[in-house]
Amino acid sequence: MISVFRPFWSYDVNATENWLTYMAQQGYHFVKFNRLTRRFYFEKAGTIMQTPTYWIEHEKRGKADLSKALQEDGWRQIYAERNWHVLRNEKTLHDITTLPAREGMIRRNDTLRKLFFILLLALIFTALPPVLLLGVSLVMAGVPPSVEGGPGWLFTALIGLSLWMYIPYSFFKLNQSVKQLEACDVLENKQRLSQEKYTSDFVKWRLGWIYAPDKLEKWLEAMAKQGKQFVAVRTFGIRFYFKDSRPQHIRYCVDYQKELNRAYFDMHLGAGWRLMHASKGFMNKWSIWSMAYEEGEELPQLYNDTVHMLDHAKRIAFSHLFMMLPMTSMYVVLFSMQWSADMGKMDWFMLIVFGIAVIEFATFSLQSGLYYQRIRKRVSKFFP
Amino acid sequence: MKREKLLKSYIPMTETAFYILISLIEPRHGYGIIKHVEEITNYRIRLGSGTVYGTLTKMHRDGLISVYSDSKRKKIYEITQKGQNLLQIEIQRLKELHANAIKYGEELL
Repeated sequence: MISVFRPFWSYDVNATENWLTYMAQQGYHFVKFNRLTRRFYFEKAGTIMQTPTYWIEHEKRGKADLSKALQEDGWRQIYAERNWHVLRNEKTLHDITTLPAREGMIRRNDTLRKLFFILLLALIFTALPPVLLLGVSLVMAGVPPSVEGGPGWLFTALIGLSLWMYIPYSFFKLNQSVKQLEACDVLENKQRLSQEKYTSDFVKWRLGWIYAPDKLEKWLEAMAKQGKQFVAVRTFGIRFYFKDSRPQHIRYCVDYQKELNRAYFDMHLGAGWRLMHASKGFMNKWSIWSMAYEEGEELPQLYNDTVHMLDHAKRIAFSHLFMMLPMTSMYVVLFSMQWSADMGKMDWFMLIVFGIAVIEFATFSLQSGLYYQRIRKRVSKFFP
Repeated sequence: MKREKLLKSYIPMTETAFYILISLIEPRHGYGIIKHVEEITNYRIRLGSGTVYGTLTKMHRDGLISVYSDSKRKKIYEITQKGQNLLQIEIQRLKELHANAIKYGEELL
């Protein structure tokens, strides 16, 4: 048995799977890996496999739980440890019809990405004071300050250096990995959306609708009833395009998710919803769905139960409040500091800027709170 | 998730969760679940696709169901052993409920 060290194998899982295939073609069959030492173990086999396909899953299913359909298509689980499952199929990827899951892998790398993002910020902030000090003393005195190394300074410096390599590298690799894995998953639907041709008769601007998405739904529905059909959103989601049509009953649902993946699009498209808009920012993953219905018919709903309706509203309101309340208080502090200072011309200008910022962020916070209240009221009215 | 935590969060099960989990004894895609639940409840329950997606995401995270893609790259969902164990516990509870409904509440019918 031989072993190979592959430290960051999970940062690019596609490459690792291809590497396992390559090793099998050389006659080395994968046996197991060690999560801690990051070593992969191979057995020299008598038979050389042509082009087997490997798949590494990170799923919380039982160790022996492999779906029948996958087994019938030739997938075998050759190794499992904790949530890791290594599957192998002796066929090439082209001849395989069923594919194991990627969701768990994306979710895991996404969580790690967020963790490393926070670590990276912490690293930058801890490095700022000494760097600034160095900069200031260089500018003021023109000479670098003399630095006294404490005991074991070399050791500390080495740790610092390796942290500065490890954390940024991990963040950027994971960021790439998540984007790549998600792209394989979602791209098709995004492309389908952007390639769809539309003609429009007029444009309306709508700002800040994410703070009151229920009002956007109502507005679009009212427009459709007046014979103004919504066709697309462009320009950061603020320009709404409409075309003249006959008056129609169309239900619009604005949805907010932590992640948008293929399963999500498939689910709604399969249920007869039409995707009108999907934005995919780091923070804001919004989509707008539409479905036509006849008068007297039951109103189509994305969420049919109170638990999910409230959960969804809570997720929106709280993530906005989480951002907006600190911003509001920060500008209130800045405003009051400016107010108490002696005022020159420039100070008046800053005071007005801070004042506008306070009003803006307070409005967004208030809107988010009111939105959640409205949904709660609606839920308790329909489902007492 | 630990067994006790799982029991606490899923039992008693909501009607939505119960019907979704029981329809996944057979592998199905998302819309297949919605259709199946409509049929077996005589169109009483019309699941919203957002509700189904939310429930499936949670169940998948808790290891109650597994996911794979078919030849058209459509997602297929299926119950796992862990999910089956949980469903059994819920079915036992429902049996007790049903038996007591007959035993003590029959005269109301």
